[in-house]
Amino acid sequence: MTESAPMINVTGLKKSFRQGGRVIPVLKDVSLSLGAGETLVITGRSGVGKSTLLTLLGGLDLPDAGRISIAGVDIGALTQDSLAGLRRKTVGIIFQNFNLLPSWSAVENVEAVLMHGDLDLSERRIRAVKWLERLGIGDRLDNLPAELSVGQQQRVAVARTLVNEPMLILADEPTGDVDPETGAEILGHLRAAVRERGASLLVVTHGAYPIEAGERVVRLRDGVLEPVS
Amino acid sequence: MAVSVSFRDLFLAAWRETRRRPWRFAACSGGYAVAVATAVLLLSVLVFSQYIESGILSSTGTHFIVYAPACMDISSLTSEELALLASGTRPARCADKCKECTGCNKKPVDIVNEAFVARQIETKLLPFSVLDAARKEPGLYKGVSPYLLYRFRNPADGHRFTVGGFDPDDKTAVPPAVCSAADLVEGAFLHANDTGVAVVEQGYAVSHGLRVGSNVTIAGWPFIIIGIVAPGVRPAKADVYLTFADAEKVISRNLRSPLFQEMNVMLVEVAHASKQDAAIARMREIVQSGMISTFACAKPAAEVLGLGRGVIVSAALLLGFLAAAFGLKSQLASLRERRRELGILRSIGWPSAAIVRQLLLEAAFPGILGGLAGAVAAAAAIPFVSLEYWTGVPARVDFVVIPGVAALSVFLAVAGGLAAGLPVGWLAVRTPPAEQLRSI
Repeated sequence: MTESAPMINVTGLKKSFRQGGRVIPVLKDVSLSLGAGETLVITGRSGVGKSTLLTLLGGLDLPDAGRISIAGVDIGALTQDSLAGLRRKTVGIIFQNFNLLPSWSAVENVEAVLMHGDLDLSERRIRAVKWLERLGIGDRLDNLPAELSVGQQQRVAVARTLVNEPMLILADEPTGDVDPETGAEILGHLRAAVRERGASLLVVTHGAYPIEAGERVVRLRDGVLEPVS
Repeated sequence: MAVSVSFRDLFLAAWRETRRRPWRFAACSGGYAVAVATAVLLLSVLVFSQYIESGILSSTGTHFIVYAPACMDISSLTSEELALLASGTRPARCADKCKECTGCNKKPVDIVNEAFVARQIETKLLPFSVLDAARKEPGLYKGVSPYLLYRFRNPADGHRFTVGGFDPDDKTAVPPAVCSAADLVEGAFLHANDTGVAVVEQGYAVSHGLRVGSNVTIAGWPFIIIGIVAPGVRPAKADVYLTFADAEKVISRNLRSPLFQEMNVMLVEVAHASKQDAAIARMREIVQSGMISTFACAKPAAEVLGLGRGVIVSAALLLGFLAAAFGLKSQLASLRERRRELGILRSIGWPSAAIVRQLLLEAAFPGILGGLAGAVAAAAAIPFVSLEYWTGVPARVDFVVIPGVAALSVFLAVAGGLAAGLPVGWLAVRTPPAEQLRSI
C-alpha cells in the first residue's frame, strides 16, 4: 500500500452477464474511491448489482472493463494466487449468505482464515474463540453452521472476517438477517475496526442502514453510482 | 510470513470432507479394495508361476549343440589338391564352401573309418573364435563350451567307438549335452587337470568288459578308467570321455595335422527358455554353415507351463485403470457438490496449491484404505486359489501373497487415487471463485 493511495480506487468499472444469449449489463460505469479509516455505504434495490460490485472489489471475479485498485495495487494485473493473498492479508469479505463451510464447526470456520499465518494452533484457537465470544456465540464453538440459527451464522461470518484484522472490510448486507439488536451489535464491531484500527469499510445494503456521522452513502441505480442527499 | 496451509490442517480438512460422505468413501474404497485384491492375487500367481516355470525349465532343456557337416566331395579333389591339404593349405575352390572350416587337412588318416562326428554325421572343425563370438552375447547364452567328438577305429579288433573330449570344469553347457558327475554309476568323474584317465559310458563298458581301474587304449595311448557313467539321453554322448586336452592330443595322433584351438561341436546353454529361438537364430549367423541340434523341448515347455505374462499384467493394469477411473468419477461428483465450498475457501484467501493438496489428500484416502484392505483380503483369499488350475503345475510349495507385489499394488492404488484427484484439483482452481460461490 502506498502512503497516499486510497484503500479503494475504482474507475470506469463495467460488468455484464450473459443469460440465454442475452447480455445483461449490471455495472455500466462505476467509479468510486474510499480512503483509509472511511466508511462508504452503497444502497440500492435488489438485483441492481451491489453484490456483483462487492465481488469485483474482492477480486473474486473479473470486470469487463475498468480498473480496480486496492491499497494501491491494480488487482486486474494480479494472478489468482496473488488475489488470494490480497484477500488473506488485506481484504475481509462478509457475504450476504455468510458462505460458511458446512462441515467445519463455528470455531473452525473462523480459524480457517488464520491457517496461512505463522500462528501456532493454540494461538489460532485463542483468537478465534475470543472473536466468537465477543460476538456472543462463545457457547456454540463446536456447532456446525447447520446447527446454528441464521443470526448465529451471521455472527460467525463476521467473526471470520474480523479475526484477521483486515484493513478493508467489504460487507454485503451485514445486518440483513438479524434482529435490530444483533444488527447494531455487529455494526458496532465493524465500526470499531474503522475507528480503532483505521480500517476502511464498504457496506452494500438494500434496507435501512443506520448512518452515522462521517459515513458516506451512495446509491447504485441503472449500473452507475449516484450521490444520496 | 508463511502462506502455505500446514499438512495437519489440510489433513483435517480433507478428513472432515471424507467423513461427511461416508457412503461415497466406502464405495470408492471398496472399488480400490476389489481392484487391489484381484491385482495382488493375479500378480502373485504370475510371479509364482514364473518361479515354477524357471525351476522346471532349468532342468528341461535350454541347450543345444552346434556342428557343421563335413564336405562330402573330398573325393573330387585332385592329387595335387590333396597334397596341398596334407601340407596345410586349403585348395582355393574350397574356400567359399568352408568359411568356418579350419581345413580339410585335418582329415583323419583313416578317412574311411574315422571322423569327427555329431549326431551320426561327419563334421568339419570349428575354430575357437566362434566360442568368443557367442560369449559376447550373455543375454542369449548362459554358457558355451568346446567339445571334440571323434570316431576311432580300434586296430585290434576293428570295432569303432567314439571319444568325447570336454572341459570337466564347465558346469553349465557340458552336463545337459554330454555327461556330468551326477551320471556316475561307479568310480570318479574327470577333473580339468586330469590326464591319462577316462570315464566310460556304461553300455560301452559292459559290452567291452571295461571296469574302473582297467585300461582303454585309444590311438595307442592307454587311459586308466576312473569312472563309469550312464548319462541317459544326451545330444553329444560318446563311448569314452576324456578331458579336452587329452582328447585333442589323442585325436591329433590320427589326423594329417594336429588340432589347434579347434573343436567339432559347440555345446550351448541358452540364457532362458524364452530366448531359445533368438539364441538359435543368432548362432546360425555366427556359424553360417553349421547345424544346430536341440531337443526343442524348452520352447513348448515354456509355452505350456505357467501363465501368459502379458495377459496377467494387462489384466492387472486394466483393473488399476478401472479403479482409478472409478475414483475419478467419484471425485468429480464430489467436486460438483462442493464447488461452492471451494469458492468459499478461495474467497477467504486459500491459495490454489492448498486447495489442490486438500483435494489430492481426499482422493488418496480411499486409495490408502482400499489398497490396504485389498492386500489383506488377497492374503486371506490366497489359500483358496488353486495353483494347479492356474499354472498347470501341481505345485507343492507354500503359496503366499508376495509382499513386494502387495506393496506395489497398494502404492498403485494410492497413486491411482492421486491421479484421480489431480484433474479434480486442476478443475477446482481454474474456475473464478465468484462462479463457484454462485453454485448452489
